[in-house]
Amino acid sequence: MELATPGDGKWFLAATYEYHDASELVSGSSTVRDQTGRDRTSEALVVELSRGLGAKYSFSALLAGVNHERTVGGIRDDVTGLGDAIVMLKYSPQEISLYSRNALSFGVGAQLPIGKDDASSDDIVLAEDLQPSTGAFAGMFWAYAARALNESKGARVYASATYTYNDENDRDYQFGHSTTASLGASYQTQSPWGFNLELLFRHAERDQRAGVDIPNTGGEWLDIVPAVQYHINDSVALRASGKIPLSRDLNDELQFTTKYAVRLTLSWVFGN
Amino acid sequence: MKLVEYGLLLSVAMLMVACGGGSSGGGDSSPRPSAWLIPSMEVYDAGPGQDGIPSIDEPQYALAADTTYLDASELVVGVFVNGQYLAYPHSILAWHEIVNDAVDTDAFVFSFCPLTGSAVAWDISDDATDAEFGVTGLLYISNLILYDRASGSRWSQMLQQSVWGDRSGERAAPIQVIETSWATWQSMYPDSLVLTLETGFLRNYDNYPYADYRTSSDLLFPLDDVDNRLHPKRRVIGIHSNTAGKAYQIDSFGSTTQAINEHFDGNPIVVVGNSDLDFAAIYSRELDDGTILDFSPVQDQLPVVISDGEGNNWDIFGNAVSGPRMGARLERTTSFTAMWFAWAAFFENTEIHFN
Repeated sequence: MELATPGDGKWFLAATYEYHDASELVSGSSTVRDQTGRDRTSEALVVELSRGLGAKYSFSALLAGVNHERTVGGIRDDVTGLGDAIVMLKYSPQEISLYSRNALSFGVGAQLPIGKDDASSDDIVLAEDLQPSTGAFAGMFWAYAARALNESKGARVYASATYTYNDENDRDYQFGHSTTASLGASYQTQSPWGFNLELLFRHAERDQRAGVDIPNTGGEWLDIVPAVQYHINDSVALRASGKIPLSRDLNDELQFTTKYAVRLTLSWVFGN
Repeated sequence: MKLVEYGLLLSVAMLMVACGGGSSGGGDSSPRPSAWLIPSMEVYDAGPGQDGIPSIDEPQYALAADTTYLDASELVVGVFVNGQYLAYPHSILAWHEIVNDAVDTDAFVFSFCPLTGSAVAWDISDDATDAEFGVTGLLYISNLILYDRASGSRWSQMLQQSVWGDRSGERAAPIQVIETSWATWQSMYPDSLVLTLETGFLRNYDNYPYADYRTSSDLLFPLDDVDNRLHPKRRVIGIHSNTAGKAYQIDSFGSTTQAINEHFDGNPIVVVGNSDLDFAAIYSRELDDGTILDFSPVQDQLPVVISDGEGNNWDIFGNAVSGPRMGARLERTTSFTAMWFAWAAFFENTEIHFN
């Protein structure tokens, strides 16, 4: 999860468009040629608003509008709605500055099921993965560490981790608790261009319904996420990134999973 | 600065309104009928979507005697259509659930629901010439809902009836099926044809796709009232009417073939089964001419399993294979094999024979 930690009194506003193609059929760790002609995509427009609260604290809120589309055998289910909201309070005891090459942040947050989770087709409530919102609360714990590699602070390495504990929704469905960890390097040139390369690992436990594990859910994913950033001016930046799967381990089972994802973010830092 | 902050809040609120309306439904523009004959609140979208679990539409067969990819204890389901015996292994059915098939002009659809363990076959010779069925991805009482590709109507497998769409209320025309172990089937019908792994799809047929579901007491989709007189996944063969049901545990017949002559809902039936050989079947004892027969079990002469006082021998599909009535056929009943929880939920007031 990418969350900003703006300085004291500063605001950070970002709008992100994400396109996620989850049409890849994977059995265990191997891609399977799927002859069903399935097309499973998601789009999201995420707005993040963060604000620095004093020297070491900041607060973030995320809202998402989500569209899920599933096309199989000529039948298309298309759902659009408000997704979950995320709020997070972050504590940053150390930031990269003139006097420090290291940064450290921690956050605790919650996922709020304010969105749509009962989309239906022909009077039948669609599967949970087609709902814009999970319909459930979740607790989130986040940590981030970075180190500048040179005096100009333009080259950095960083690591982050997020643990999400999902509650059950009112249909007794519980998405699997997940752990996401990333390791990356970024380089901001003297020009407006910056580059980023990240390894992203995600482990998800199986989803459950009424406490019973659901087959063909959960697993482990390793992705590589290249990104490029362009600073339009001192406060506005445009960032493009992609997610490319490197490996998957899906409990020796069959799942439709990420083929690729792309993301475009426009961000603005302002305030005192 | 305050203006900027208020503007931000307004923008977020506008996003919520823009995204909150929501829309869903089929992308095809034709209107769909909406009345379900079953409680729609109890129908679940299991996730794969319509045809996300692909039916087998061009089944390939091999001779049973030459087939080596099946373990002796693996379950297969057989049919007898137009003089041809055909067998469908569970290991393939679990991944496809439906086989659209035909013997000459006798078209039929075979279906198996891995979550309820139920297998049925329906004669569709009278349907449209291009009649085919597919998997909707919907479940009712964990049980497969099929759809026919000609009309788009949806069919409950265990109710054997269309429950949504233009053909809503129409009943299927069931064909007798026999579920048994591969060893028993192969010994009974070595000249039969068995579905091969050449399904047209790449799947790991050695791997059961639902983990420990077959033996676990857990269900994947909630059911309000689970009848706990038996383990939920116990295999039973059941018979039902509109008001009653009766179930026989497959593993309670014993190691020798049993024939139970009794009445169900006022009709004379014979229940024949053998736990070691892993088969069971229920037929009417009343013939077309009004004769009611009493049957005795026949041991070690598979596929012959019962004989009657007139000197006829009957095979597992209810065909008289020798005796004065040779060529006659016992009338099939509403029976089929399923997991106990599903049978009990579909057919309330079911009595258990071997309790």
